[in-house]
Amino acid sequence: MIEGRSITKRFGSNTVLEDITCSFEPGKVNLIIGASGSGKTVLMKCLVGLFEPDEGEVIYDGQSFTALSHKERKPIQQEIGMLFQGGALFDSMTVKQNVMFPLSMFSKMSYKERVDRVEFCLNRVNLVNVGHLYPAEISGGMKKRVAIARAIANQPKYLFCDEPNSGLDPKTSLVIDRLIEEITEEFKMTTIVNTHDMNTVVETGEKIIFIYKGKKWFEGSAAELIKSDIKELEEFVFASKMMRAFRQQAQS
Amino acid sequence: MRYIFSIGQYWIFMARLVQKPERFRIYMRQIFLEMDAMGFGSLGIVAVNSAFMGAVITIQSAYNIVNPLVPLSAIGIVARDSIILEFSPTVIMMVLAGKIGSSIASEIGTMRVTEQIDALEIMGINSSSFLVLPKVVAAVLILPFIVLISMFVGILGGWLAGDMTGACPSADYLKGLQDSFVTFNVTFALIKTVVFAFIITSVASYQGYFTRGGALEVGKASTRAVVFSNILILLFDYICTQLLLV
Ligand SMILES: Nc1ncnc2c1ncn2[C@@H]1O[C@H](COP(=O)(O)OP(=O)(O)O)[C@@H](O)[C@H]1O
Ligand SMILES: [Mg+2]
Repeated sequence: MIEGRSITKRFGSNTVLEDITCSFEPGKVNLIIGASGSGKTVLMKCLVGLFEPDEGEVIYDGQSFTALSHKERKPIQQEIGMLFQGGALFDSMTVKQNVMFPLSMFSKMSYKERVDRVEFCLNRVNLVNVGHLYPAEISGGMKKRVAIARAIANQPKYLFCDEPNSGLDPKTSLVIDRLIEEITEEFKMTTIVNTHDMNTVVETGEKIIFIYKGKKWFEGSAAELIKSDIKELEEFVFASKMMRAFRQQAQS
Repeated sequence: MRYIFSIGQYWIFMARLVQKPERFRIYMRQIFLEMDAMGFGSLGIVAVNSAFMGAVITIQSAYNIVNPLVPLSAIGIVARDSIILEFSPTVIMMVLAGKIGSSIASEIGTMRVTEQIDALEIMGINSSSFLVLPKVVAAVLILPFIVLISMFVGILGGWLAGDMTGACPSADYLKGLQDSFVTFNVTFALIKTVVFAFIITSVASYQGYFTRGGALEVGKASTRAVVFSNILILLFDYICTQLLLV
């Protein structure tokens, strides 16, 4: 289980996260929702160690990650896969090389085994015949899928996804959401997804954490979210007609 | 205050470079790729610049020497020494700061703003060493050869220009080239080249690595890389000359 305890993060005098305590359930897709600029990415980067929180700590399976040195963190970091908002594929490498990269750097696999693993991961995200192309030559949805394939190449225990469906059309978004759900179940990962997409909330919300202006306002299931009457949720979740309709349905 | 912070940040950044590479073989491959890009990629611009500068230096020297007591071979000496001592190692390296420096800063800067550097870090790779070390090593190894080529082409350009315009006949130029030749001057030029190669690649990498924002900031980082490396090249040109020649 991954936990954040009283995480505070500042950039200069700008407090981006304030006293956030949250936990993420193993084997599930956990959502962090909030408007743009509310601090989702910063929270996620604190959880994986790309940012150091100014106060508070991050706990992996009961062990404090924050207290570890960079070297001591390596074994945990090897278990983390991350999907970045823009995909963050390496421009200078083909799709295949991108997926193979973490394997070449860290696994003890032979070349043949690595090629097979790449093939498997690309197939798993339903990508065929694009292995030889460069990131600039494929569509946004494909990029996200390659990034997922790269993130799962080393069989991580934890998968972090920063806005996996930003910039995608609703149908492709749904495909990516489904894919994340499926692989989470299939590979028994703990997945954390940042999103501001209400569709995702309705479709996949098993455990939801709501961040507003750097503070946590809600933690619970989608059903609880719909019923909740926290004022801050009005500004974000129930700003959409769809969500208000859902609330009405749930209340009646 | 900001400059002091930057200088500190630069040295911490440099210190991270010298940590043990994760996969030696991958580093070696990167170094060869970079050497290829920097070396062959720079030959054209270096050759054109050197040929014309050599020609101009020769014709200007001829124009300046009006005293009949000064032999025409002095033009060969002047062209040779100014090309070897200053033009090829300093001016050409400033040209390369524009070419190589801006490309490194924008490559690494783009990787930063598109989170490719975060992607490396999350895999547990020391991103600064992985991205920067091969570039620094490649530049330090390959640019001395480029500067040697520049010297050769520059002197050749001077010879051709002098001969074609009649400003300095072939025989005089060649005599001047051999007259009181100091081999240490070439060594000195190559030492400077190595220092400048380090400055260009490390400053450009630093500027790229700490870019924040988007495409606009990448452009700014790339401009800053060129400006700062040019200033530092001139400063270290002076320091090296004081230390080694005077
Ligand atoms: N590296 C950084 N330096 C300074 N401020 C930052 C940095 N990264 C993010 N911020 C600030 O933190 C706030 C939250 O950003 P972010 O977590 O990216 O929001 P989002 O919820 O859209 O992912 C923003 O106001 C942003 O300006
Ligand atoms: Mg974000």
